[in-house]
Amino acid sequence: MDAATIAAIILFIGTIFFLGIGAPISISVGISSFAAMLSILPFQGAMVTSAQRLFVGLDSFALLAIPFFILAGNIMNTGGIAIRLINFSKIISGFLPGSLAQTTVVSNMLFGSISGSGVASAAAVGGIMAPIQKKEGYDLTFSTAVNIASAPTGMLIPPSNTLIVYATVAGSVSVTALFMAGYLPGILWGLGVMIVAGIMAKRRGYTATHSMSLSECIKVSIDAIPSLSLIVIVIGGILGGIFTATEASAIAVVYALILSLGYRALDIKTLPGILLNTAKMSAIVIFMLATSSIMSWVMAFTQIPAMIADSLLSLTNNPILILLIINLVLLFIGTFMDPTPAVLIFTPIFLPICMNLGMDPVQFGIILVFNLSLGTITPPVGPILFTGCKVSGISIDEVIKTLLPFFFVIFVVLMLVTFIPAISMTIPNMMGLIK
Amino acid sequence: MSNKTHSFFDQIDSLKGWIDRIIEAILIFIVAAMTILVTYQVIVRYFFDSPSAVTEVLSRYAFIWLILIGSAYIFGLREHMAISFIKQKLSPKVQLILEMFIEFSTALFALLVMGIGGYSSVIRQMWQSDSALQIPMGVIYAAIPISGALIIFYFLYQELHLLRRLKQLNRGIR
Repeated sequence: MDAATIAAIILFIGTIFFLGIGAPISISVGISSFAAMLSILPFQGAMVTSAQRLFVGLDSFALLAIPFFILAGNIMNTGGIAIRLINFSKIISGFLPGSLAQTTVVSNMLFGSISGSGVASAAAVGGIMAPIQKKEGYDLTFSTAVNIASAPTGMLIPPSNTLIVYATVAGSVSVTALFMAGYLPGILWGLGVMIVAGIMAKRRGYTATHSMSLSECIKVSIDAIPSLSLIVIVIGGILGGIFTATEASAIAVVYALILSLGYRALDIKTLPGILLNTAKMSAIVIFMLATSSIMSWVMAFTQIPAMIADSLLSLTNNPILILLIINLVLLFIGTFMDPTPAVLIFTPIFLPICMNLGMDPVQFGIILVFNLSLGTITPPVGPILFTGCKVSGISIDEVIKTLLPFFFVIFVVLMLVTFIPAISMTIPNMMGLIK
Repeated sequence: MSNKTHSFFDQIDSLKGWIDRIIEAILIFIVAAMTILVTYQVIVRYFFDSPSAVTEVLSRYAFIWLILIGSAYIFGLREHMAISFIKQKLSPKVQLILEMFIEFSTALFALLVMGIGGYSSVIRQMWQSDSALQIPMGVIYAAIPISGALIIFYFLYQELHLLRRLKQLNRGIR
């Protein structure tokens, strides 16, 4: 066996072993990659190279957007912004069957479009909507399922931290193009959930609607303008070339802070706690990125992606089958692994294969994040599933059966996004973001 | 005898408490400073049309320190993301032994890669200066071995507590 194969085996078995015994993902990846590197480089060289890879993995201005978007989300959670967005959503969805469930979906999409984290969205929207729906006689499993099924749309609808991580690993992929590409798939996901929720609501007899009078609509809209402006400032600013995604995220922090202080929903004394929490959440996510940068060195040296591509192509050279296999692998990985580490590990493996099939790296990023977002609402490890159940106060077993039809429709949307490039590529193409 | 070990544990606990408080203050300061730096960068460029290279570089380095020091702190809290549903099915004693092994692996990574490898990188990078700030790159790299040392401290702290729990568990079974 040559050095590359030995290194690949060490990396593969080591990572699975450490992940399996429950070691931190960052360490599982880092120590296995370091061990693999020891089979290639002398001891001293491997130590220094690994340390430098840690540094290189972190040394990127684009990554600063992640703590900023997390911070903006943390401020908005406490800041009275969610309730204004929910009231505004009622204008759009109040007349539909199961109107409160529909409002949950639209609110999650709106909240996701300013916060970038599905978990924050599920907590904020579910926390407000679950009691209201209970009062109107909605079954708690139904309202919880709708909240859980729609919260991940925020990971596709920009800004999205997972897409920023993908852009960093994939190399020369524009964050702006990815952000624009995420809109339609995210909205389709939401519409799919709305259709299923509508049918289920009709069957269950939740037909009361919440249409508002014109004056109410105007009042609620004016109330929501400052919150909605955040979308315009962040996305408009990036698209207009006024600032980069990172700068936009810092502006989002300042804007959310001013808004929340203005609404008197945020006590300035709680700010140090919010900052510390942001530092913690950022360190958890981004330290994995640093150690996985050692792994990407090993992967580049050993040509592991090419090996996997070869064995995949020896199974079949039908592009449709290959894409299906990749989807199934990602869905499986997503059930027990969080999106960020999965993006870090599987981008270098699958991206070259998909680019060989003629896929644009932007579309691949959307497919990747779509698959892994679906994993956030499946057991055994589903952060949005857990959060959604926690805010409603019901167990995961109770909600799973009600979630099944939603899984089905989301899977159908995933197939559409995988096999129809236009769904991802139309908006970035229209804006001239794809070379 | 038991009195003596108690005071030893108390001392270690209070030392960890102190280190935690210091790190927390540093982390809060860095997040606030980064926000201010990047906001300032946008304002200066957009309103005064004078782009500043210093703020971008400074905030990037602050970010590196934030993540490295922050993740050492997270190791102290044992809040790093892991896939634990298999481990949770095992008996408490096996779980404890696995924990000790995981802590040991973490410390090994912190010692070899972050400590020794990081220190060598710092020495090598001392000759190179950053073009925007005119400080040696080694100063920025120093976050790696410092984070490694903190992780090793937290490892010692955790192992002591895990050992004590293991002893209690053994005594409880017999």
